[in-house]
Amino acid sequence: MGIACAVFFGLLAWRTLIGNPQMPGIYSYVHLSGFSLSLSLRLILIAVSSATVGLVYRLLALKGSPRYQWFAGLIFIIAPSTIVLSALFSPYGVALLLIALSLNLVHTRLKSIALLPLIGMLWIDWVSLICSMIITGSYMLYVEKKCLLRTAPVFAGLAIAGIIKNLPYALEHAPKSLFLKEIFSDLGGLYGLGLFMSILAVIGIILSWPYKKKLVGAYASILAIVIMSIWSTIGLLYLSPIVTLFAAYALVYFWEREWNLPFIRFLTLAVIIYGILFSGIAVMNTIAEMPPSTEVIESVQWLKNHPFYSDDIVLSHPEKGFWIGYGATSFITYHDPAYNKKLNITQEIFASRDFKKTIQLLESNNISIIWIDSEMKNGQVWTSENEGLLYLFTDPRFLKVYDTNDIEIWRLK
Amino acid sequence: MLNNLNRRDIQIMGALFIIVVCLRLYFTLTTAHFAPDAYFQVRMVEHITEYSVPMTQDELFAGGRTMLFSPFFHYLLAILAWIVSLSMVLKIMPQLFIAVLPVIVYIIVRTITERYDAALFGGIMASFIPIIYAELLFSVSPLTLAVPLVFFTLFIFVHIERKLYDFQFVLLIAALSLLHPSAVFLIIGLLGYLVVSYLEGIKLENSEMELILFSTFLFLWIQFLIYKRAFLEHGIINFLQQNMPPEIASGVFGLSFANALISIGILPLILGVFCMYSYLFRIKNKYVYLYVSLCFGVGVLVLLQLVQPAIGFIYLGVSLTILSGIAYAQFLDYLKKTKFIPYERMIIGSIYIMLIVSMLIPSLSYARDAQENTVQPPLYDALLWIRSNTPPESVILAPPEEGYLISSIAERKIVADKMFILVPDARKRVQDIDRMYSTQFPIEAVNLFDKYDINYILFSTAALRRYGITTIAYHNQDCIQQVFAEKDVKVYRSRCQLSVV
Repeated sequence: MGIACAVFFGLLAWRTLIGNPQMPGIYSYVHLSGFSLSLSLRLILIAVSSATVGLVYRLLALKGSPRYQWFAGLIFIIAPSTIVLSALFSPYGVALLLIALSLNLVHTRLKSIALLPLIGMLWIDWVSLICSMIITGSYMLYVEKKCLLRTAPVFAGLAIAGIIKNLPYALEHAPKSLFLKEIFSDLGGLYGLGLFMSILAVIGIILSWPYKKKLVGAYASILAIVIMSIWSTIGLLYLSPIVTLFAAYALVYFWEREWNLPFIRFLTLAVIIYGILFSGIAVMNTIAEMPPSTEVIESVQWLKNHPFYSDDIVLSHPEKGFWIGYGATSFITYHDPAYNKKLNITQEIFASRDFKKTIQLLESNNISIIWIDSEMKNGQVWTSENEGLLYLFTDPRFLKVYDTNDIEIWRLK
Repeated sequence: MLNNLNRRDIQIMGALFIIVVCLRLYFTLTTAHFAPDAYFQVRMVEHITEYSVPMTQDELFAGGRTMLFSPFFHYLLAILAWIVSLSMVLKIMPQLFIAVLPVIVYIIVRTITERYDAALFGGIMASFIPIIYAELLFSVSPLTLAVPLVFFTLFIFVHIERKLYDFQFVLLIAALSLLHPSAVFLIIGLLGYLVVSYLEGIKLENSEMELILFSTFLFLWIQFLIYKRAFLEHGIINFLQQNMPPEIASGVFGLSFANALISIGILPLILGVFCMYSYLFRIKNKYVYLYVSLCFGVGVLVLLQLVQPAIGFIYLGVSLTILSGIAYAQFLDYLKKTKFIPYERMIIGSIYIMLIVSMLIPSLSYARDAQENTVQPPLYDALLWIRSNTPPESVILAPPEEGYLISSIAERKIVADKMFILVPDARKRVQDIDRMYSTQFPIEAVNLFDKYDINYILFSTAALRRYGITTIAYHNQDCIQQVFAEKDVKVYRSRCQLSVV
């Protein structure tokens, strides 16, 4: 727990020290409406992640050797997904906590209500609900098959409740890139697995194959969650703890086996541990430098507090939609039901050098404010100074009402 | 094993080394310049010599780019260049590195067969693998060091129980990981060895498993540290194909059976395949499986076009010469059991004649071709003229094949060369260069000149070959001025500008 707190607080300090104390991430701001961006919110995130680590560690103590518990605990803390969930405001951190709580309850006198925490998944999405059922189901298969049979009706009930509640498949729908890129955090996937951790996990699966009858649930859950992750990378968050367990198994095997070449043992373990640490540190670095910056939030707060513009519709790149939505009304966000239509309009406005057409598009969509940052000007939307809409800003009907730290807000008169 | 070599072995190895070094140095020292591709390596070595750090940002690339490469070879040459002159280091050292290869092949075959004649046969074959003369004579390539080291590492792997060999193995794997990405063949060979041994029911030593595990993790980690950004930007497949646009990739990754036969040599192919058959179906020897699995691994990667055939053929050629040496020993043993034993000398003589015909002659022929493809005086003079007579910020239009020459010798900016990693608009650039040379319409060309701020156009035999034209179609426009001409090489200055009327 101490190490977990050190890692999570370290990340918070890192981001604060480089001058950006804002909550990182795009999707953090979807779930943030109604919350203020205070330090206490960040502390709650860390507390949730630390509690998850604590519960996982307790579970490992019940089923593994002290060395395995120690290694698996450390790998779980440094796993990219654990670090991401400790820093981003997301319901998935709570979901993992609930799953860990549920698995712990299996070993207590409250066994009969072990699945109660999973009800919380009904307020998240299908990916979380299905993954939680897969993980708890496979764990019960591992612990006691009879227990699984008893819980089958509860799973069915949860599924029916999910259908009635019309849960979304996943809460986050960012435009997806190549699955191979998303599956590994080292290749740029936000919720991806560490590359070395994954290789170790494959070795762990091979090494644990003699116990395949006992571990069949774990193998099946890996397969099922990987398949689910193809449609939504959120699934990778739930895959990470299982991968951690197999990776730790392989690491303990390498640690404990008798090596003929002690010199190679030392170097191999060093390379593996560095590789795992490297993935974790790379994710910490990514999160520390992740937008939005203080300037972005300040510009949005400026809009929110402005007596005339606070209710105006703001046009920007879809990626900025949730940040703008934190204080103002964004024209387009990734969650917009008419996303594709609005994306076409946005692209048309940004690319247009036709004044009449642009004004017509802006007016017909009630857009009066345009929010631009340096990222948009440097490749995200435009590549040169006088490209598309930037060229039209020379017209007096466009008025620059805000220009601070590379963020410009333009208003259509 | 190295301690077990006797005087005769050392004499043979010494002779092989000296013959190969002399032959290769004869070609390189009688040639003034290198092949165009070598100038990338030359520039990187020069940069390290001057600044002690590898070049990470290429300022001589229109628009700029980040450079990613394994720097060990360049550091090694740069360190040597602090002692001897850089030109001598560039000409001599790669030849010394690659000349060790026949010695390593000799030792490997000698160890496996325990015969001088088979080892000598393998060593001679390794001395004259045609593709090594075609690709590694004038290229100052890191492969000149990577190829011998890969096979030496495999040799060390087999004899790891010897004192200090584990330490040497660690150093070799670390060096190879920083030397050239083609060292992945070593990892593939080791993993393939694991699979083949398992399939053949051979129990591996614990130490072998440990070394395979270590080398796999270390190699992966180092490659990841160096090329992480390229993996991210291009994805694995595109990275393996070096983000080459199809226009260039079709030439580089194109595969022809006839080319494979000539590049590797018919004799090692026949004997190598015979050896593979014999050891996979009749005899069990796990050390031979190491080279068999290397052959399979390289073959599959070349067939899937994930590796440049030229690089694949180099590794394949060396592996097959090792297997050929083993097959030769088998053949001589078999011959003794037949009625042809009185004709043994004649048969051996005819095998050596075949070796000369299928390997020595093509090697020399390839060496001559490679010599002709080095930078020749008219082009070199044009590059020197550009360096002396154009403003330093000028951008020169040249075919991608000559990109390295412009940035290294002429020291001016280019639109594209043959390194496309981390160049996001690589295909567009190559297409634009093709259009600028081949278009009939001056307006189209000038529009593209404006796009890349091009001031000078280099027209040489490379452009002539690539586009099948004798000059650019719009050379007689008023704003295009010929400023240099020597034989087929011309330099034009462009003052054209498009303006809206």
